[in-house]
Amino acid sequence: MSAMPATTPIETVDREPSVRGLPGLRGTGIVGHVCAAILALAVLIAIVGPLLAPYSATEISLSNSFVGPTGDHYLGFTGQGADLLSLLLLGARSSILGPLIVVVAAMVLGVVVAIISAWRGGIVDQVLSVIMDVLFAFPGILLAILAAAVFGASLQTAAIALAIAYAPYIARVLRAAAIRERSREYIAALEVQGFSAWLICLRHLVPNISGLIVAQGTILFGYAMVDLAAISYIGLGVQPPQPDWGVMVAQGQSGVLQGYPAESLAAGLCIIIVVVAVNLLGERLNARSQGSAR
Amino acid sequence: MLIGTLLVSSFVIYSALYLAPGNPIATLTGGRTPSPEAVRILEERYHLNDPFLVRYWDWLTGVLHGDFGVSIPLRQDVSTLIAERIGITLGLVVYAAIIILILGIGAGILAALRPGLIDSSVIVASTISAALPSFIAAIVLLLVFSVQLGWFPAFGPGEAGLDRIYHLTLPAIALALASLAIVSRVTRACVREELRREHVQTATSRGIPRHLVIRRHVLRNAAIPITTVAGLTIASLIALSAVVERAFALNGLGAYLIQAALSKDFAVVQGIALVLVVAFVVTNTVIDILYALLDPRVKLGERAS
Amino acid sequence: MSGLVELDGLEVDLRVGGSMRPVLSGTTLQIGRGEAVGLVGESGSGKSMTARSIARLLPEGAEVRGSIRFDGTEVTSLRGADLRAYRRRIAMVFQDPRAHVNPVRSIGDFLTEELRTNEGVPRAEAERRAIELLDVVGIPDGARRLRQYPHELSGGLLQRVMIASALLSEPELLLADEPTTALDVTTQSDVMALLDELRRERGLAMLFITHDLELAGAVCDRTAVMYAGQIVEEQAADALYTDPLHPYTAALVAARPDIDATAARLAAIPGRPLSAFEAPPGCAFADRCPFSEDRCESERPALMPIAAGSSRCLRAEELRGRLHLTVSDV
Repeated sequence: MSAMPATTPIETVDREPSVRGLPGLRGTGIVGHVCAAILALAVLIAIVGPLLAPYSATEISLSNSFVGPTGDHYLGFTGQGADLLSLLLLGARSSILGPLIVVVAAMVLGVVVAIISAWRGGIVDQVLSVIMDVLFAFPGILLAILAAAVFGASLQTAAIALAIAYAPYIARVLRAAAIRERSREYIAALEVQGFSAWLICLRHLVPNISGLIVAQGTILFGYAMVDLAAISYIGLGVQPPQPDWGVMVAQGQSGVLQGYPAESLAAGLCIIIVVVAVNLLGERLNARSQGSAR
Repeated sequence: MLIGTLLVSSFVIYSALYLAPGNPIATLTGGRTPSPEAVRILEERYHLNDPFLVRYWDWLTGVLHGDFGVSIPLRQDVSTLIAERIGITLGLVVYAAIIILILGIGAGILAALRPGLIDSSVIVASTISAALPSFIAAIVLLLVFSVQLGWFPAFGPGEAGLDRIYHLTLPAIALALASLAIVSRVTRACVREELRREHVQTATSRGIPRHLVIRRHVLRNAAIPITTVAGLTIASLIALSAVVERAFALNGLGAYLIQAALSKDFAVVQGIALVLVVAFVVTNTVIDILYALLDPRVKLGERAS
Repeated sequence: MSGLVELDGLEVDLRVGGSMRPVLSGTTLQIGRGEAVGLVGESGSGKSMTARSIARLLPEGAEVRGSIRFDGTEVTSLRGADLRAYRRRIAMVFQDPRAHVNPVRSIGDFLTEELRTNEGVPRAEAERRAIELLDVVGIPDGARRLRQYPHELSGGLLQRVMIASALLSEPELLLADEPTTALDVTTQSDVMALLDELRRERGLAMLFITHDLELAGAVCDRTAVMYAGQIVEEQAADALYTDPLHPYTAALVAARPDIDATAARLAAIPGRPLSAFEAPPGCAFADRCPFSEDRCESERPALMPIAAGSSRCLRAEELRGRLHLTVSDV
């Protein structure tokens, strides 16, 4: 998806009663805290999922194909006869940590480009802008397909491709914020005192736009998760038998047509829950960072 | 600007795949070790020994004349392969765009003008559909409307004509859902915003009937941001159509691109990727032009940002 | 004098957050045919709300009590076609022309919209009349201006366009809400002179809202002074200086910078202006008034006729003639 609302300012978040809460989430309301809790749980499962999963992904027996929930198998079996709950727990790792890597990479790229553009201005800014403009011509999914064709389909390839495709959007938003910040007097004061540009950027400029960076990163996570799952779904991301929610939606599709939708729906629901939580939280963080910028 | 972006994009597409590891001769001979004579003939036929820039130039001028080269594994013209499939992708994207424009903008306007029950239901519906990624929406639609209710076919593009529209309905909805939500929410916010404007009061104070105030002032002005957002959202469907085509086993461009990427059929990947990028860039340019036409404060050529 | 507009005990509450908040609490005012009435007061005193009530342009959810009569017809209960027919008989010139003219429609569209929509005048005829009026308001080359867009015109020109559009529909009442405040000082007087001249020529009644006492005195027949959602004094415009009837008016006069004055500093009114919703049970001005007595705190004064005007002060009679002199010494 390339029409990213992250860059369109028109968003309506209704004001909610302010609750005292965690400092990082201040001003995001009850919804923000609930979403953050869901995300924390998801990340925890992504990390320790393999320890929780009662069965392994390869423990399959076709005789269990599409068998419903039983005593030891709370969610029943997939079409290939694997334990569904275990697959979901195991699949959380690539489904959540994958997008996380995309976001971190895209943010680092975006922030570096934005700061260099804003700091140097002039020809450097123009050259970077042109490069970004060309990248804008490649929607994330298309770039991932191209990357898969060149380097072979894998989670790493897809993640790198998405990070490169997202970076221009992040860079554009942050560049504007960095230029505003750059023109503040305190930056000039630091320059006069002889601090190096890198030190000023790292110690002052970046921390001062960190609210926006966090908000944009959160919103981006939702997009990365959906796009990465879609790429795995079409077979160009995570490769089976490695468990992954996007792969599970694809593998369960034959079951859907035979009237056994459990695998596809369960994996789809996991994706939706995380994406909704991350989007709601992102909207609130974004509204907050824009509120404080005014 | 447009031409420049397209040229650079075409270069990126071509060179990326040119530099890809892998040997076309091996693909052609199916893994057997060919005689040096056979290798020479093949290299000559597919111009494998020409310098890179010459091959890029040949490819580019070929593309401009409608010749996208030859698929080495299939030994077929890429142009023919594209022509056979472009109709389905175009149909799918246009169908989804129509759904988005009519339902999304319609629901947004309705929600903005009719606070209360209609407004709340539009918000609830858009919140749900915004959270549905296209491929999951596809699964749910397949389950409900194909498997359980049996109203729509599960797979395939059908015959051209009405049957095609019937077959493309579920895919188009799956493709449109998330964008529908974005467009209706933005429309609602823009119309609301415009309703509060002072110039709308001026029109009201002159005794202009409400429906004319809404049409000439509120909707006319809200159309500027709505066009931009709706346009960008629709442009994003071009790449996303690949996923939906895959979900519904439609043999459009996107599904074929995926298949070609998996089988390393580079000529096809280059051709289809270029077509999709051109479509995406041209759509974005059309949006910029529309923006300038709608807003007298913007001159053509200035970037709408 | 036959009253064209008669406000009687007008009370308006606006919805703020979840509660209703009064902005006008008992405004009574008459405007005769062809008469210019000034409405002065500090920000938040309810001047604009009075004009908006007359034009029926209050925000959604506003509650209106009391009566507004225009040419004998009750305005507050008008609906649909009757409301639109009434609105054609009044015209409004707003403070900020930039915000009040649709930025994406041409000047020609703006000027002729009402004639074409409401009176069915053909476009060519409407444009001819618009060009004529543009000339009257001092904009030559009207034909070219009609094709231009608001962002191509300066604020002063745009306000002239707004005045032309107000006159184009040949209204009987002009509501001018600080029409020059948003303009450059140099264009202010030009636009004001133009408005005054055109109004007199055409025999238009006008409600002129300003915070500039002097300006009101120059262009109006009578001036009403508003404080905290009420009219506290009303009389002939030129008498306001020499013979203020309410301590608040006297304070306004004293606070006005005067080139001739030898006073070392301007007399500021102590305290801050109140809004209608903050008004105490007694006189709203009592806590800022140098003449307030105990009864001023508890007893709400009514607008009583005195001399050639009226005043909402319990001590108006006894203070008469002393106000003008004393306030500046406070």
